[in-house]
Amino acid sequence: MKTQLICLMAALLIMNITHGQRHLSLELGGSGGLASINYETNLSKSEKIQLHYRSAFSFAPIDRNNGNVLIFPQMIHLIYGKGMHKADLGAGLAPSFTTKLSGFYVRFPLSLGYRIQPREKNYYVRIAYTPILSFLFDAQWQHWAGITFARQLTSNTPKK
Amino acid sequence: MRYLSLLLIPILLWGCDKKSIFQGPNFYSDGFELYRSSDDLIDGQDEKWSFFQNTVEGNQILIDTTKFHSGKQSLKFVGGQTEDILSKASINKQFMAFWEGDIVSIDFWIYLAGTAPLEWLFIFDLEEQTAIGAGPGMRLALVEGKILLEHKFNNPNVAQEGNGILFPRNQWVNIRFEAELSQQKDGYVKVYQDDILIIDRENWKTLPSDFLYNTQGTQGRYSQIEFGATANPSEEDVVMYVDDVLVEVIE
Repeated sequence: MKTQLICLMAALLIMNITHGQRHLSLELGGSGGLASINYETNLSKSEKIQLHYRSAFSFAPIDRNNGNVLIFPQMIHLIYGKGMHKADLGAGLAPSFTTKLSGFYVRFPLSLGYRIQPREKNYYVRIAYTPILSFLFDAQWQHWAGITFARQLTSNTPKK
Repeated sequence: MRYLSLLLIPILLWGCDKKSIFQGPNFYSDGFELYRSSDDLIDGQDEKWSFFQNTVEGNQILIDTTKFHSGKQSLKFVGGQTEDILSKASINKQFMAFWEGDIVSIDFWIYLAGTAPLEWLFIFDLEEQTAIGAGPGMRLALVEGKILLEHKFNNPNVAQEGNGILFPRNQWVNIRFEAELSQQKDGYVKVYQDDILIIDRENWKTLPSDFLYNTQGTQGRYSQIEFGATANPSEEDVVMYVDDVLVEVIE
């Protein structure tokens, strides 16, 4: 099960690197816990409804026996809106393991957000309610929130 | 579609019955009368005790025949002060199962030798083993000479109200810890010292839940008990005796 999940994540990560318009972002709070660095790709061509794939990395210290926990949230975002103001809904998986290999676990982050993306600018800001869910042993819903600052890595306007 | 299938994985796994996966006893008692040496305490099958925590050279866990509450023996813990590594001299029993909704009672006798302050000496832990995390749970500490309830999860400490009652030294003291287990704020915890209620907290979260990514895989149960100098961060050596341990679900 663990191997399958890791393979799935790796495959999605490779897809993410090879396609679409990209953003690099920093999310404070949010799906990665305290903070995360995110790499985001637009998977769709529609302007009004967009599907983005987001791959993130975060970590947090635990204790001497566990070391740090490394977190790799993988999210699909549905972005709705044609102008500057958009709804941004995301869901995904967040596998994580400790640096001393004392534990592996997967949680399920959601993101219900509002995204400001000026048309002529190469950045966006997202404010989101980002609950983190557990299902495997015990159904738990943890309230959380995040704010994202993203910079586009490729230009909005196509090259002539 | 392939992305949607990712989301189906947790739903399929959610169907598992956690109580059948994480089975374990919810009763254990020990007067330490049947052991010839401390090696006999660990049977390797978790039917008796599971393991020692002995983090500092010189720390010892011994069967003692000089001080006992009943019978002829008790368990002696010798724990040095903390220097570089947190000093522990304790005994653990794991793979137990105290589930949310249970009222669990832990009754034991303890003899703390000497009069050194031993600030923040931890004498008993009730913990859960999680996939990722540092054994979240509840534990009792000696602070300013009195018992205090500390949580190894996101919950404040509970000190005795008013002046409180000092923990007697150089004599046997009975501690009874009783808690209704809940991951919500609807459990309770009571601690009795020689039959006097010293800590009483109602509408209380008594079981840990997942916290961001630091604590993951909580199951809504406690699985481990630990007695002795479960942590001695103080600058003094500690010698304590434990006897007549009774752990049970009473409702």
